Amino acid sequence: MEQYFVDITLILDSTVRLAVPLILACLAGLYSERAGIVDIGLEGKLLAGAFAAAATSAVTGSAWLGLLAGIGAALMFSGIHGLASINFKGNQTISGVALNFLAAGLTTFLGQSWFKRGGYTPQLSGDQRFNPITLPFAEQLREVPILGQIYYELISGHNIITYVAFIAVPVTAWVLFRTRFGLRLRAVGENPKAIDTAGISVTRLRYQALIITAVLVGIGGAYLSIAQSAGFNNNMSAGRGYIALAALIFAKWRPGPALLVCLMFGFLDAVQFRIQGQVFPIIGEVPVQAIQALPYILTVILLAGFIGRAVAPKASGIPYTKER
Amino acid sequence: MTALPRWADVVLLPLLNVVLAFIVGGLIVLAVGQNPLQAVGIMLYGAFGYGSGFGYTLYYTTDFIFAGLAVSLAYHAGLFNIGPEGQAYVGGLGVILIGLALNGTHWAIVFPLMIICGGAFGALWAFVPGYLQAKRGSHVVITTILFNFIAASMMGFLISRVLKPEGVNSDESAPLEAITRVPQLRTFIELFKNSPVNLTFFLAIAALVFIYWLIWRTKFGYAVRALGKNPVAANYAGISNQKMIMIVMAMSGVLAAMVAVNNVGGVQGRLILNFVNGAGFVGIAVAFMGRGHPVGVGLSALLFGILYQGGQELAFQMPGITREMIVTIQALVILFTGAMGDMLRAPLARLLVRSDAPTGAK
Amino acid sequence: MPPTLSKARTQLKALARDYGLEVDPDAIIENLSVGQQQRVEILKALYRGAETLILDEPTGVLTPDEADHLFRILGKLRDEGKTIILITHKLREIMAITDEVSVMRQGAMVKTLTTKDTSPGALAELMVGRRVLLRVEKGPASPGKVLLDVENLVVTDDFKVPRVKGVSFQVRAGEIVGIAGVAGNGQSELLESIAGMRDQLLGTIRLNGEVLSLEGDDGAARARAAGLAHVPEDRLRMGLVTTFSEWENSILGYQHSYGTGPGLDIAMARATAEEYIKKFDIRPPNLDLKTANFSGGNQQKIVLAREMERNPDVLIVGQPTRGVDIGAIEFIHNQIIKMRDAGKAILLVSVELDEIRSLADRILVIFDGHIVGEADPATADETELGLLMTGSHASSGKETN
Repeated sequence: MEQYFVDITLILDSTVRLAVPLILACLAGLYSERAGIVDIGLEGKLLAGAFAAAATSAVTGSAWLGLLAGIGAALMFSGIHGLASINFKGNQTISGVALNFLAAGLTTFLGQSWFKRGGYTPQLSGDQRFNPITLPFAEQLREVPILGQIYYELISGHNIITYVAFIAVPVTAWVLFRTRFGLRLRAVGENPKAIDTAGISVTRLRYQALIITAVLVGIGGAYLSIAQSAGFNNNMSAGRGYIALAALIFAKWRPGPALLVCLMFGFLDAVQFRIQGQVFPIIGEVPVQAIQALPYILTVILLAGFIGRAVAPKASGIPYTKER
Repeated sequence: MTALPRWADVVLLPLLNVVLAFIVGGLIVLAVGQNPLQAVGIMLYGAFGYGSGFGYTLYYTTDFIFAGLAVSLAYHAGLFNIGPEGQAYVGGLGVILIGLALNGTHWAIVFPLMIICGGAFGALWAFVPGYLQAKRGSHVVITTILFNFIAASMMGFLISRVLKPEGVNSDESAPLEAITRVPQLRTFIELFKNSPVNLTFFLAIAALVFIYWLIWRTKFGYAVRALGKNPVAANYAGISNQKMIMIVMAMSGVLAAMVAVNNVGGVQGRLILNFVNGAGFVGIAVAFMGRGHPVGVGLSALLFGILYQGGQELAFQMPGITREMIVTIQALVILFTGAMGDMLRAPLARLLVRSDAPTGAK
Repeated sequence: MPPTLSKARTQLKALARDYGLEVDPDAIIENLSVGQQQRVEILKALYRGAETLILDEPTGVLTPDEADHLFRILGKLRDEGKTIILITHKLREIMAITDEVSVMRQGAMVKTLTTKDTSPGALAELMVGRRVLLRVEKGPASPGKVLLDVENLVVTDDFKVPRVKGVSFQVRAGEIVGIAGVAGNGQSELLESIAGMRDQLLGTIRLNGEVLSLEGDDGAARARAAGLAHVPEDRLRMGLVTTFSEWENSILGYQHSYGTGPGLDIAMARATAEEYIKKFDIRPPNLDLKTANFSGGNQQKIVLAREMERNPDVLIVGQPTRGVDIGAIEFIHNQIIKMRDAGKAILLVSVELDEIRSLADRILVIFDGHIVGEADPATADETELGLLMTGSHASSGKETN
């Protein structure tokens, strides 16, 4: 019994860790898609953010500068996306796909040129990373059964970005549904013409959304390389941007459900690590590949059946052209 | 809408976009302290300078023609198929299964069967997202991405656990006998010695012609284009959008699977882990650069063939530039020809109008 | 935020009371009727303290009654010293409520006049640049056998909400049956269902006595094969592929009859397009031009030529003259009459009551998915029709089903 409790706590703890980049990327996507801009490029921004954060942190020795660089890289990518999809009225999906390849190519190419380690950045340690924070009284409460253990294992002991990610969810809900900016943001995703008629710049609003997107996904990227891991390696985002996008669709573009779906995907990921190589009664050993593919298969099944009609913001994916 | 003369729209604008992509790529190379012009020189030599280099260029071109056509055909129907990578991978299973089943049989019999069997596997892998799009409204962009991941896991399992013979260390299937493999051109043409270009190359050329005919000269192609440009109008015209989406996706998968015929049937003679190695993704760049037109696709595929083969040469001669630079170029090409394709339209139109005016006055 | 919101709500309520623009401030916009949505738009402008109000075709979706209400409000605003610019193609509205009128033709202001010193005829002439007949000339109809027979039709929209709720009617050879109603009362779904683009939940459609099976998403092909032609309500969304060239659009829906095998007989298609251009005076006469680059009137002619020239038994037409200049309207109306006189059965759906009254031989009024009345255009009274269209005339012949 005790053992199961510990097991479950550990799985949930790694669920939280694995969900953080998904939550950040998913919220990031939420802002841009709510503003009517499809963002397939989350994956690329995540990767670019991770690389920039690790590279900067390795060179400067400061995790905070690394975080800033991660955000900066994501902002640059968002800028390109905005240029293509807002100013030049290009196809947003294509632009996103291009950004994903750009990130994959550039991070490895620059990483190799700068650090000569086959695309890896140097190992980070100490202040080059965001280290776990022990919340007040965690040590004292550790001995309290169940609640104390949950507090110590699950809630305390994460790095700052984790807390930022979880706080970002209610903040996003508030911004989206309780502020003037949020109202406009949702309106521009549904009917940009109405926003234009009201004398508000569609271009400006959409860029603002893209900036928030970049900040969040940049933090998510930094989390990957300088909080969760100790350095960047090739293609370390490993499809998380796509999973975040799928989570966004499941959540029907709402922050609360987005958190839940991201936690669910994080949980799947955590379970996958746990049962790898274990032999089960009757089924025997579950092949690694089957476990790896599970989140994707599940996503396809969910996309095909259970969510039925996920109605995206009406104007999403359509560049806004003022009538001339 | 800014109107451009047809020649500018069809040739000049895409060309400028490609040039722009390469200029930006060159600047990146320059930024890391390498000489981009020298790099281009090495690449051109690597791609054309000697027989086997040229052969490799054509071999890569073959892959990219198929992948590019796969993306183009779907795109004409308004479907963005990001899955040729996975479709080619699964297609490889069909190719190796028929090859191994008939191992030792003459290639003249096996080659067409590889096309059919590999094509069927690739078609299936693309049909499912097509079906989900048509019947369940699940967006094909997302599902094809997911199917790439699923294909990678599934094929990884099949290759390492099922197809791998006893006593082999690396993850690959049993080999095909020489007589069963698609013959390489070096057996007929001395120039191509030591290069893998094979009969599939001619299949690619035939596919270019066929797709041109299909898209612009048939009722089916008319329906495909109507669907892609205005699905409501297609429905109004009595075209079954659902049926078309499924058929087009399946055909797209067949085209992608020909990458496997080229690689598994013509070069490796066995199914190797991750043999597609990004060729399917290059198809996206090729399709946008070629504007979905078979002539454009052919030329773009050749360009990427040059980049890939030249890139290998480059990696030897200039160690500062890795192969990933090609992925970067590929991204820039997609960006400038696909997403920002109209960026230069307005300035170009102004320029052409201005230069037109004096001649008109004379 | 909440205090600001409640302040806004109070202000809006006061404005609504002052101007007779009552709407529920907490309602979701898409649940309001189009007339009420219109009020919200005006309220919004007033709330923001607008001094100048520009209205672009504000009555297109309103019943005559709602339109009158709107004009009373506009009158009140004018009297308070606000400037109102009304853009409309309805001469009646110009004459009724404006003080000054400017006529625009082909992007240029042709003339500015004081309204009371001009007449509808004079304005129409300025708009087209030549004399036009404002009335459609047509002889009496001589209806023959029933060609289109719709029985107890129930159709749902994309969200599975029933929009057509048990409609029955017949259209005979040589007659034009007009369906009048405020936009959004099931006309679009009715048209699309008969044309084979939308599955029916219940009911039967017979064409020339034969039951049309329209299941599946290629029903439109079967409807066409059975002798039905369809001029859709929205040519840009449905009737044309605007990025296709003129000739390609001239065969849309009929592509299968061009060429015998899988190949498309392009020469034949181009010859057809050439012929349509001549017959319907489509300008510019360039069959390689993208359809997007034609004017609204010429785009509509491309659609009409395609649907009329294939000699169908039944022609269903939605909003034939929406967004079309007066000159082309005259032409289009005459073509429709010509079809009728050639013995075709024509079903006409339009939100323009004037158009229905001048073209149709019989008028059916649709409200909330039901046919709520039938009228003879010669004797029908506008107020009477208006009441039917808003469903406020329960006594008049409810539909039998």
